[in-house]
Amino acid sequence: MPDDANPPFDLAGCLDRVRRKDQLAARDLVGHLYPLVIRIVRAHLPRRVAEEDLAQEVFMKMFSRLAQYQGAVPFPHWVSRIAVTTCIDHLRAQKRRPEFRWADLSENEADVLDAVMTNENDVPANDAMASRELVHKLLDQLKPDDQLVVRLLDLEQKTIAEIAVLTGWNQSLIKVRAFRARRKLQKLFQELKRRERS
Amino acid sequence: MNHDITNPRHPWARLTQAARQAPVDGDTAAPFGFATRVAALARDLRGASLLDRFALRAVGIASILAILSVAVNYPAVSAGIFGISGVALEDIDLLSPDDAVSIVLDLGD
Repeated sequence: MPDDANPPFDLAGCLDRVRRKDQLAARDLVGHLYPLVIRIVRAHLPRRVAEEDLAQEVFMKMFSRLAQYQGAVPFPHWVSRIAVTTCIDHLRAQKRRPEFRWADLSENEADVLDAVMTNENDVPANDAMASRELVHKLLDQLKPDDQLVVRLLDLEQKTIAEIAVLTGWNQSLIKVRAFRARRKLQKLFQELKRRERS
Repeated sequence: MNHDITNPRHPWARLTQAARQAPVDGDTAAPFGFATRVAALARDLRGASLLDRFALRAVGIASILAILSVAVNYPAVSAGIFGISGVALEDIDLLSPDDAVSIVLDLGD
């Protein structure tokens, strides 16, 4: 049942008003889409880039390309794609990837990594934050496009078809990237196992 | 260590499973003033792009006019250029007799 105090957002009407250069509508549109954009930005945030700056860039691209939006896909999907491609552009711009070393991990992160490599138990719930940091650091070792695919597949648990919609890449390319990325991760784990924690 | 990364017991699979349990950080509401700032920037961007379009057209028209004017006035321009280049530089009396430098040079002779 719709909430009378909080009526559903009229996206189509708002877009019409934005096209007629209504500033208030533009502001409402940004406010409405911000949670969607910021979630994507936070999930794929490159190092040393402020999330608000990246979100602003996404919205600027959205406004500058608004005339190209034909309504073939729902507007939030269209904006999601802009957000994902903006993040990947920033990831590609970061040419150097830091080396993954045991010494650079926090005590907690090193404990979690040590545990998952030496036993087959699940990671305790109170180590979730450390696990997330570790996953991000491991993903940083991959090429930007591979990083994005693995993040969407393994962290956000999206399907290949969903990733294809989100990125505009064809499904075969996504599978190739996922295969390549997982092979690289496997090598990384073997390397970490070989070096062990000092 | 399990060597199949897609296996749920592989360290990577267990790490990502734990990572998904981590609380989503931060507020997802737009910071105060963000929407107003972005809307204003977008308006400026639209204005600038219109100006850019006109500026580019103006550059194109100006270039065509410049080429046309050179083409129309080519005989006069070429006569002017060849008129000067046809005269040897030594033949041009660069120093007038009243010039202070030429007086000093004359005294030297």
